[in-house]
Amino acid sequence: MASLSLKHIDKTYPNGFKAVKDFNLEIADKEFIIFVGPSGCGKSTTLRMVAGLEDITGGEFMIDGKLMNDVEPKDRDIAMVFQNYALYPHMTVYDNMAFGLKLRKVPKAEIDQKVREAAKILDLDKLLDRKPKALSGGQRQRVAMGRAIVRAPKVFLMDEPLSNLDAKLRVQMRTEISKLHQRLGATIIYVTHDQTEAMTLGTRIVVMKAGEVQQIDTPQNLYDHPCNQFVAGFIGSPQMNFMDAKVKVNGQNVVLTVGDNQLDVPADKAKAIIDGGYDGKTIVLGIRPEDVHDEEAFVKANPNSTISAPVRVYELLGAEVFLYFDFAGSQMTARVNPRTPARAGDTVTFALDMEKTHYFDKETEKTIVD
Amino acid sequence: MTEEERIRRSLEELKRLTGLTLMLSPESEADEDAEEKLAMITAAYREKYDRTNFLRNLLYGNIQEADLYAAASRFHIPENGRRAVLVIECGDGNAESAAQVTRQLFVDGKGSLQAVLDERRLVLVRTLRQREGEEQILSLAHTAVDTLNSEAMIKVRVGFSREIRTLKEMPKAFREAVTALRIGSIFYSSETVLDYSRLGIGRLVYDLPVESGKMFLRELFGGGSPDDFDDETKEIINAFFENNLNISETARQLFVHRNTLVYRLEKLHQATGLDLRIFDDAIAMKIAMMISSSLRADERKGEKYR
Repeated sequence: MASLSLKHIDKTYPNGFKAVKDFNLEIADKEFIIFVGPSGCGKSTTLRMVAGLEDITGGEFMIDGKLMNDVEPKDRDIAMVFQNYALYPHMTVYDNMAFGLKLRKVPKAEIDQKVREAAKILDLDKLLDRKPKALSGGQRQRVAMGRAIVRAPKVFLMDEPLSNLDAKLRVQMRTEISKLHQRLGATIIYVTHDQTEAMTLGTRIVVMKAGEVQQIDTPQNLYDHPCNQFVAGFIGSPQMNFMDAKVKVNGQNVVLTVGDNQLDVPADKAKAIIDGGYDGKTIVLGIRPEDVHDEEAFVKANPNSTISAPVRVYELLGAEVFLYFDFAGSQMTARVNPRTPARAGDTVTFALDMEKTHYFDKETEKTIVD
Repeated sequence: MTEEERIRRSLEELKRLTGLTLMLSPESEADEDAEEKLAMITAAYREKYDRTNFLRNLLYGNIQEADLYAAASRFHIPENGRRAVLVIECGDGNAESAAQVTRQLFVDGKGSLQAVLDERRLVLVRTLRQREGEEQILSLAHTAVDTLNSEAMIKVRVGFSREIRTLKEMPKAFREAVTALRIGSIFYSSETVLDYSRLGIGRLVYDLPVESGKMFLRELFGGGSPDDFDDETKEIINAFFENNLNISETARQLFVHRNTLVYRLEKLHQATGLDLRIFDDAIAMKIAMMISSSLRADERKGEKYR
């Protein structure tokens, strides 16, 4: 397997459109890296530059220390699985997996060995004689993966490979891909716009927006310590709640005014707000839905962080309930226990777990403290 | 087998291929060269009327309408039917390799025709099933791109036509698919799939007569053009458009102070008379830049493509 290095990678199209700007990333051997971001953020373009399917305008891309900028895709020792995969309809599973190798004039015996090995890894060994139409959606997806595995590449590149599958199958295949990564010990770059897929699969995640890297970190760190408001809002479902808060400094204490409510900021976070010179300014307060509580005991224990609002929507998901409400001009979500008595139309007092709050500069959207 | 029997068999083969009936006159003596001559005629017809050649000639408009349907029926190609033409453009002369994949993916004889046109292009004519329409053609085009990328590992772009209903519309559909690729390469170079019916403002600019385009540039820039701007100015303009004329967002993306960006936009305003913060001026600049790209592409190609 392989390590990859992307240094100051730029992609500008002839019409002047800058799709990727100064992308820097070191990928270690056997890492599972996820590129995530909204549509048009440059994640697929970056993957296609790694694949050699797009020219690199500026910067250096290396695999195992070798410069790859001008190396043809077929000579990069990579394999790709894309969103719009299609199997050859009149070929068996075996032939589908073997076809790419036949095109590369690999000897028959070697093809046979590789196909059977890949089939075993993917639990397709009993289906090798079947035609695609006799396979389930998940089995077809595994054949598509098999076509990449038989190449025994240094790096696997996957561009939204699950997005054409239904929700149930997607969850199932997500687990399969994760297992596959462990079994193959492969370096994988995986592109998705689905943050759940990103969080569950990746060892590290690259969050992108408008061609720029926003943050590169482990899933947990991205969730706990987003570097800006975009990352905080993009990672996590339902997304983080944001509200404008006016800062008032009293000695070492900071009080925030949100709507008509006053909220006390914990001492460790207050220091960063004071040091940043935010006294009298408006900042953005962020809090995740699970840190907005409606349990009586929590509300009583945190009288200086309570807010009240009528519940707009009650959404029961079985193991949890989402309560949607409007507060100080923001749409808020609370993820609460399903035994909550709150229902749509009720005015509920919520307490914010201030230890879990995040604060962002309103102008730059960068994190002040979390 | 006697010489006469061999000649009779060659005549049958010729009839099968061409529809021409030639008789062996009872009083004529079997010519020893006849079999060889018949074989040559048969080979020539086979080449001329081979399915792939037929498709190429059809797309390039080289078949007279009068001959079209007889020839099509010889290849069992129905005269009518909903079809779309997809042109697959491959990087670095890889059309043959791409065809190896597409022949397996879109199997011949089951509603699709394929032919390699030259080193860089192959064509796929897809017959649409009852409920298939533009969405399915789009999906097919994406499938072709993704499969060729991953299986043959070659760079490809696909342009496709609007739906047609008769064979005689095939040359028009082919031109549409080629035009989609051409317009895509000028204005939408990040796209790998180009739909002729969704080329937006690019098509308008492309269809603009060269002289009108040049006149528009003269009106705005006198003797100059947007190509004369330095790289930094071009970068600012593009970023400003990408960010929907939002100064704060553009400044953030360009890592410059908001006031610096405003100053540079003012300078551009003074130099060109166009204030990009005003919608009308912004759209004039956008169109001017597109016209300029189109004219530049014209020059690169070294010919008038209109």
